[in-house]
Amino acid sequence: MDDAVAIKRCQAGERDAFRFLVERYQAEAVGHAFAILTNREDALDAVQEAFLDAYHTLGRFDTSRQFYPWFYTILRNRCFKLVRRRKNAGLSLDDVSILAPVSEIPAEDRLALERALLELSSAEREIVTLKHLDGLSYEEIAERLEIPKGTVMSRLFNARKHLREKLALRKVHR
Amino acid sequence: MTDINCESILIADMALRDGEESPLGRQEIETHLRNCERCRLEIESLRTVDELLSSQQRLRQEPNIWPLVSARLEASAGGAPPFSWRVVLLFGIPLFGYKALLLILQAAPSLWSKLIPMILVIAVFGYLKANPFKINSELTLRGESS
Repeated sequence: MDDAVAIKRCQAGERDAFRFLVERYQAEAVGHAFAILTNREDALDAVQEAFLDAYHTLGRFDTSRQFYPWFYTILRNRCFKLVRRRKNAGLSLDDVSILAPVSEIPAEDRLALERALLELSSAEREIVTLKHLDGLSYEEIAERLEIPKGTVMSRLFNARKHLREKLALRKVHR
Repeated sequence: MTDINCESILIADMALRDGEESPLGRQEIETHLRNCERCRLEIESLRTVDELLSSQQRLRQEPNIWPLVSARLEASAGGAPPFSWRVVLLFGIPLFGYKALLLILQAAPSLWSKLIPMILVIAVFGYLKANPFKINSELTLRGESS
């Protein structure tokens, strides 16, 4: 079954078809929510709520579009609502991990980068991870964030600059 | 010296490195970099960050959301419709306004004579959708180009 078939079946009221979509995209969605929220429980809550929102609005979904970019806009709305509502009080950075261990990179460098990423704002971390970890083009990022391509460029530039500053600070204090 | 500022050079260089369409050509960027040491250093350090980022992968999460989503869908299908503030506001505010108006008028019946003309004026303005007493500040003088 592909997404378009599953969506049409959902629109006809088949709940099992929605299960297909949830199971297909849940891992990606939690990864994206986690990069914004840096908290596993919050990320799971946001993804769950976003899937419920998606289910209730699937009736209006245009099946010529791709599911995940549409779902992503719902998910990020949920995530930023949580960002506004909750503060990561008492969050231990040792529990947070966005990056997978890669054998070619020294663990120390990965940890420094991970911590620098966590010090960025949610929006900056989101755009940097969409570009570098998901390999999205500016056009795709613009679609996901619902902003013009020029804004993607300037936001990405500022996010990278801040990341470089955070990394430089870490090296100074090491 | 051109009117291109350093930030637009750095953004254009970043776009080129990302394999994207750049607002400035490579020639323009290189000409600027030849004369601007600050930009050269900036680009070098940003490239180091990019290289570090590009070799990373996102940690794959393996959640199982479906049981929770399914349970919520079951509950919402069988239960009462979700509480909506919009409905409360839609009916509550006009009712509250009506009741408040009645109470005010009972307390001071002479208010009717003042309120009725006011309501009529508001209704007429609402109908016309324009305030006839508003001064048009966007008038242009004859012969003046817009």
